[in-house]
Amino acid sequence: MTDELRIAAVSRRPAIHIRVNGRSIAATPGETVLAALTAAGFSTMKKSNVRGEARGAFCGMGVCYECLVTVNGVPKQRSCMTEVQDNMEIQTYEPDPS
Amino acid sequence: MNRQFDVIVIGGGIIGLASAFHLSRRGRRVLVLEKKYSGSGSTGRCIGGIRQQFSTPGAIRLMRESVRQFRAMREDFGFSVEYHEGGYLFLAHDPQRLETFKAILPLQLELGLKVEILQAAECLKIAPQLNPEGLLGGVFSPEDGQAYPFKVLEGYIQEIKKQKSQVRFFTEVNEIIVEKGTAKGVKTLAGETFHADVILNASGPWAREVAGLAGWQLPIEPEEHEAFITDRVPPIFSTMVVDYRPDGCYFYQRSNGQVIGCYSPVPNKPGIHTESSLEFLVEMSKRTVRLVPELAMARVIRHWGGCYSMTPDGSPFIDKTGITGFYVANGMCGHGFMFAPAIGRYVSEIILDGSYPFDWSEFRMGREFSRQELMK
Amino acid sequence: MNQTQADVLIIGNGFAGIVAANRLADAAVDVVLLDENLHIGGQLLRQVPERLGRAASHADHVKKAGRRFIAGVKAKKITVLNRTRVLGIYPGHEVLIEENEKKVRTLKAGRIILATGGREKFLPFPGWTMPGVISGGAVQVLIKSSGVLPAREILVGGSGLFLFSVAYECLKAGGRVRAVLERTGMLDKLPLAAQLPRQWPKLIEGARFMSRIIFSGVPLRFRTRVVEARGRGRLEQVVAAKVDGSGKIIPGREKTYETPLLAVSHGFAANVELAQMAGCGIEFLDERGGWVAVTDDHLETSVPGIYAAGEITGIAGALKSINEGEIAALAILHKMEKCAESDFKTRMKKLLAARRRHLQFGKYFNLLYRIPAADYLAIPDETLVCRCEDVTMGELRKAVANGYDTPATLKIPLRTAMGDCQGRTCGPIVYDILAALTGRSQADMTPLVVRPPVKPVKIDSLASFSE
Repeated sequence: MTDELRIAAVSRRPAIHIRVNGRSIAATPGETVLAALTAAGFSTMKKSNVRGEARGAFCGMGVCYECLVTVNGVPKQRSCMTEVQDNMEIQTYEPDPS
Repeated sequence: MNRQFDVIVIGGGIIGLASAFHLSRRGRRVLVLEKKYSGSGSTGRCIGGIRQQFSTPGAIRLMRESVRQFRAMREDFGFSVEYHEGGYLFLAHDPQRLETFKAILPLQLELGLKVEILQAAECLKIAPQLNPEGLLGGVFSPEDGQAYPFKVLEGYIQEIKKQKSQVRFFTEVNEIIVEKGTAKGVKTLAGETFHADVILNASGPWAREVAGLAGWQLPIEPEEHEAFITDRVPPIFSTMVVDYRPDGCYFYQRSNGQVIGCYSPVPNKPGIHTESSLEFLVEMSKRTVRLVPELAMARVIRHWGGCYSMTPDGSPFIDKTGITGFYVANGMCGHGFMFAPAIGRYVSEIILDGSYPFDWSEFRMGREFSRQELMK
Repeated sequence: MNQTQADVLIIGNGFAGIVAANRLADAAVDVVLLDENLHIGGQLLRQVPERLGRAASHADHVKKAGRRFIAGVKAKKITVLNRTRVLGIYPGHEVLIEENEKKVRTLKAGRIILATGGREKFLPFPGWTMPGVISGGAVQVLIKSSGVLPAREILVGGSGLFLFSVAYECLKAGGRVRAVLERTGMLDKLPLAAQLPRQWPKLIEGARFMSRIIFSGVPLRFRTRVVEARGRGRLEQVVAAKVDGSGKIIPGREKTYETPLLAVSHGFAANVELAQMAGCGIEFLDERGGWVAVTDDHLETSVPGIYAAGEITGIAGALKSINEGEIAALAILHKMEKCAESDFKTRMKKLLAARRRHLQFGKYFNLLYRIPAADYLAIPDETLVCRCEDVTMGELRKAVANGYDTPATLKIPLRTAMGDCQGRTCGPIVYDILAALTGRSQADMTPLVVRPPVKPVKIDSLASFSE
């Protein structure tokens, strides 16, 4: 896993694991799904409704509905408002180019 | 500005605009006066269903003409009104309902509808996600469908403005000038006066009050119906489904993926109200998941109320009145959006030619209220 | 056992909410404090949750006070409902709530305090919808609540003091800041500063941000505007341009930044939707930052028993929110006859005097950073304005030219504000654009009606409702 975006000054509990588009990534309990996805290099979350363009998190606080992902089979969950849980299954609309 | 018009239409909803559209096409200079804006009354609150399956010959003929016009709108307006023929599937969960469908069928077939009675299994072929529990069968017409009301309004306004006619928003009529039994013009709340020899009442749920301004009595009672719409969800089926059970509902998926629907409240809620009740939000959700369990994950994003304008027999008044020059196209009983294109054309013929297109008895003023629409 | 009744329901657990909750609980009032967020404290008091780990804290005196209020909420007899959303407020103060995006139920409250805070506003530019362009608030949330940087290096652009706060947080967390692009000039509108009496503590805080940023070698570019974000599927480049005093772009002075992340922010809008839904009056006041809830001196709205406190009555920051939390609580205690008349009068007088100063402070910044009409008029046609329904500036221009020039009539040709976010993102932008295109003041416009559910809610949550 890449931890370069996790802030060094924060002492963390041991990592848990979630699966994003079938790929296992590490996450920290207490962080949001958006934070875990960001730390793992995912920036694309959904397709826009009309044009089908790539969209990622924007407001970060539950207002804009741009960071919607499927969480454990439930579609269109706001990743910024959802806390990670061990073994969570996340689906973004497609694997991020990174 | 010139205050003389050929026709003044009171009400800028779908009925008023469709009428102004047809009158303008025939060269008349029309002024549409709308007290708020087009779509602020009933049209913008309806769910956009379009069906030909009615139980009376007049309504069926009206809808044959409306469908013909909806099909032509893309060409007429130069843009899509999101018209789509996904069908209407009326469901029967009791034998009596099935009998009603069967009883109306010969008339519908005679008037050219492609309608069929279906077994429960055949209903599920058309709408596989339907909960089969208790389903006995249904009746289906593939040529029924949907359109987006706001786009139809926009199209009419665009075409009306291309002619010599006008649509004025935020202009409320508070007086109809009648001299010696003849309509002459209107005055507005802002104090303006406009003249015309023809005045058409197309004021939806306010029809009774507006007719009253001319001294004409209309037996129309508004009542509230509510509706909700979800976010976009993956495709289910493309037909409207109508669950006729006392605790049923009806809805369809718009071509953009949103599910939109309502139920008719029992008892009815009389009066001009548009409140969103907690009861409807919860009840509609329960009824929706019961009918199509897969919609549990859809999210309700808006919920609103609007008015049906009810007549004693469930059919509208589309006619001249006892006041010369004062015409009515009112009392749509929840079918104004789908009726509008046809009404627009036929009311223009009634006004300009003085002729009725076919046996008009079910829409005349002064008819006996003996019949009842069976496909409400 | 679910609490189905409360003397006072406080909606929003930011500064105003937690202050009011503390004061009411101290007088043994039965309080329910709810918020949609995972943690208590609102946007300003975000911190790494205990579940995640520990981070060193550099709280200033305002944040320290906030932490004490949070501790108070946790220690006192207050029902705290996090991750709980209000879907609707019905007659008789019957409030429909959803807990954990699952359970829907009602709660009846004697009185309600709307402490719903604010949200960020944005000035659209081509490419602003691309992944990698995020709000300044999102940067702060990621850093403060999850301990994650949005990228190793970020570019910050927009207008307002908040830009510097975002840059500061990023530097403090070990990230790099490519530059801060501030649309307003440093000395623009200096005359407005006369409206800034006795607010030195806040300015000193601002100076602290600035010095940290400057000492880190971060370029500060004033009168500079982001004009385009580019990339294939995600952000790669940002084009910025110099503007003159009137906001016009000076040709030939563009600069391109290579960056994976652009944080944008253009000030704040009050979250008035719940107030509108409940039937409370709202008004448009430039000096308060736009549409705000109308209240009397004691912060009661036009609906008896519903109060508004914090950013919802005007954007002015934490001190005003604390002050208004105090005022609303005191007013309610007085109404409940839990506060002696003379005590009430003295305390209220002091609080109201302080409130006037906070409003004055807010007025200065709200007017300083107001996005001028020229900036909206300069948005290119192809730019998306409504992110949910992909409506462009060109479509808006055409609609207005065709006479659809009010928030409501726009619904005829366009689907702005009809999408998943229910107009929260594009609403304030569209109103500003309408004002810019028509030359009318928003004060003469009627904003769109807000109906329940005020946030999208799953049908199965609603179907789970039982009395």
